[in-house]
Amino acid sequence: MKINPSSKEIFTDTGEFIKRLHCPIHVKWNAMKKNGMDTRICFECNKTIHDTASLNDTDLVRLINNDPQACLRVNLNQENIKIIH
Amino acid sequence: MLFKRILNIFGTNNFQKTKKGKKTCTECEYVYDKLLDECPNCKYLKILTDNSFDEKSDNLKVIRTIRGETAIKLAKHMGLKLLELRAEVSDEFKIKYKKIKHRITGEIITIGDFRADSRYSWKYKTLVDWTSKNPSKFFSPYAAYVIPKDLKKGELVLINDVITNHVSGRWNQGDVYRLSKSEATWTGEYFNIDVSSYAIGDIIG
Repeated sequence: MKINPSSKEIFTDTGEFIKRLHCPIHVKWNAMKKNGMDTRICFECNKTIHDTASLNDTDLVRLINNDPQACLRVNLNQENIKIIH
Repeated sequence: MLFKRILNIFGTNNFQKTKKGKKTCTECEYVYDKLLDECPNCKYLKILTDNSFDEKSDNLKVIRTIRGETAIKLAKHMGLKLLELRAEVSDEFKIKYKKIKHRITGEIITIGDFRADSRYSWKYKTLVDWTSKNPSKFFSPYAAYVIPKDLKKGELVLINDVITNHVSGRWNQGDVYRLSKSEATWTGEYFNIDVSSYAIGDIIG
């Protein structure tokens, strides 16, 4: 998985575009309700946010194909992310 | 005179190459770094007449930022209200990168992660080895926000190009990102920048 922190676009390791991350509410991850190991619930919109730290490219593409509006969390320091410019 | 000439600029961004890795814009004759895609002088002149800034984003007014003496001069000529600020360079910011080129296809890639280096090993040759750029360096120290006439004191807005320097996020490989986009509140005299609105430690969306 790759991310461009400026455009907030995420791609697979092979360069396939997955999603541009955008949240108009700006809720912090720590302020969300825990929902198992890898997801949290946003108090503002009640959506489930998926932590990409535990997903590989295949899982992530499948998730977005099933629900293009799915919310994701990417932390720049997680092990499975590479940063591109 | 200046106004008419500047309005003629909004076509294609023509340039001719000059010596020492610089380009000269054929429209405004500004000499700029060859690595830039377009003339920065013209870029900010276009912003003054770009109607997309009149549309709200996430229900917030979008504030135009202009940079360079020419754009500021034109904005004043147009009678716009400006908040002029000096764009300072801060050594705190650092974004590292390496440019590589595919040996067969010629594809050029910019990587920013040390871990990606090994993946591109033998197929690519290095064009620019690991180095860093400072995102607080702009072509001119002169910058200004264009203040909408109907902007109310206490109103929350969106600034797409923040002039003052704020750390947006830090990465454990040493990169320090500069906040370029942010929500801000208009106090009547200046903008209170809400750094947390677009900080990039955790990116959610």
